Amino acid sequence: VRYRTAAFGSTLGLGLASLTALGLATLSGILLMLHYVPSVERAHSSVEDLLSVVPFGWLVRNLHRWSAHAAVLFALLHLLRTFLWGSYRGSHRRVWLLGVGLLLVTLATSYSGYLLPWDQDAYWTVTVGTSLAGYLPLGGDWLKGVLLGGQEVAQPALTRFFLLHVAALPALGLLLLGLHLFRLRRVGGLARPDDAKGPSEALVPASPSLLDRELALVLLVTVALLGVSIAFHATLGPPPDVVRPDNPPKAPWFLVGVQEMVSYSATAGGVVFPGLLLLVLFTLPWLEGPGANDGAPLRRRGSRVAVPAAVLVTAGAAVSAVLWWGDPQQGIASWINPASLSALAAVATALAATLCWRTRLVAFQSLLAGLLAALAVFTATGWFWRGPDWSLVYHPGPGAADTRVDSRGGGAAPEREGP
Amino acid sequence: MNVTRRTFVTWASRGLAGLCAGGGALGAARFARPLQVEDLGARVSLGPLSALPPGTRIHLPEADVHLFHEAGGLYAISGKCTHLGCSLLLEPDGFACPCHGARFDLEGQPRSGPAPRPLVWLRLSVDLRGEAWLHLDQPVRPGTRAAS
Repeated sequence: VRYRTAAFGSTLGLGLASLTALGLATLSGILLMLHYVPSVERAHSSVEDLLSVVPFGWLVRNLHRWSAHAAVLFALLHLLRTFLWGSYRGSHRRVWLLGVGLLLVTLATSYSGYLLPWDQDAYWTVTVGTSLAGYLPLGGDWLKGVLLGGQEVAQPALTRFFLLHVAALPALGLLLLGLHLFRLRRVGGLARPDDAKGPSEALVPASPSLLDRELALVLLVTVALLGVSIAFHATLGPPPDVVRPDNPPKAPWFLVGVQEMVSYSATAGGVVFPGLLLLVLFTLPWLEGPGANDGAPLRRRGSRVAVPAAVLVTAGAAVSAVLWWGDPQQGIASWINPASLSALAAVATALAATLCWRTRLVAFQSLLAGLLAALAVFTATGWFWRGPDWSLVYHPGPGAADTRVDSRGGGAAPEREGP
Repeated sequence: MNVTRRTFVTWASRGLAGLCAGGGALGAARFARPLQVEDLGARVSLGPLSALPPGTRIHLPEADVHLFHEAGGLYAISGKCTHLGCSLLLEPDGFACPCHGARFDLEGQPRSGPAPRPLVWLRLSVDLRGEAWLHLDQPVRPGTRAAS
């Protein structure tokens, strides 16, 4: 292989880190299946058994939870790295496409696993998620019915989510993973600039130059995740109360941005914004048109200015919109809200970039950067600054109810914080 | 147009394969749909009407329905948010959704937040013996009250 391939800075090792975490999640998942019972009556108690009586059950469950989170985190960082390093163009277009598919399967697998412990979070996360599916313009009702197997979250839904989580999605993921790696190999390994020269292009033997480093990374990720699993316990809430969600119930961190956006409007924030983001993600290399790979972060002059500018402008627009609206309000129309405004800001910066540099490449790169920045702002808002009744709080955590921002003018109802 | 035997067979077999795949996919899509089960629990007894005096405000947890008896009469509102299906919390002046912050007044009209529609009102009836019934499968126009 070329020396570039073995150099840590070319990839930051994020793809392999994600793969390692996925492997750990698979192994621990297989172990969990020995004791887990996918039935409404037994699911919660079988997870309790894992935590209390099964030897090392707590460790296996913690490892499963944390390695699943790590797999999603590393996959997202891997996508960001590939994006900023500009390594998705030309012959690598299909590798990118398969990678985005793989990210979606990883997210879906993680989400479907959320229902299995059958606790409060499980019940309400899936109630909301499947209701959101009903907002899809085409086949939404069909998808909702197929996921739930009925009208509400009950045994058929648990059966179906279990099937998706342990069989259908992992099988699909394995297929995509195989193709992702196969395509990468077929196009000659890592993306590199057409004009690459110098010592980084020297050929070195794969073993030990590359393999030893990869092995070290796998071991490092494994040890780190084991350490986290020993130190931190994955939560298991009480069995679901089907008429009273927690207040507020928070989606898993990788979906809390969507939760924040649907609190403005289910259609604009839950369908249009994510749909636009996915469309741009999937088609980015084709939208950009022909272009060579960069091989290093933001090597192009235009990108170097436009991408940070798009991030700043869109994130700024998202932050000001969230602060302007404060608590969820009946918008002027459901179309004018922080999600749609920041999408507009991203499109506007992309247009401005087009005028400045006159290339599609820079334009679409800054469009995606802007959309991702807005999503990051909404994720942070939902995670850190939303308190009871999904109202904005400046100081999250215990006592958050006392410091809620009151943009509605005296609408807070402290008397409800009783029993 | 020049169709050789070879291209004909190629396209015919591709078409056939497509038809089979399409038919299979359609069948699978229908197979995966939920069973439509006759809901026998669609009618819930509320006990004698006399036990629900004006001023009554109760929550029926099994059905997640809020029952009000006010000057205008008796009415029942579903406690599921019309936005994304979370259960609403009853406050003195209306309903609040903990999941996404939608708010409704006591008659289920959206006041703020992302809810697209008013809450669902359900039909109430009183039989000849004076027993009140709630019909979970029969939504009515918001504002429809049962006379008391």
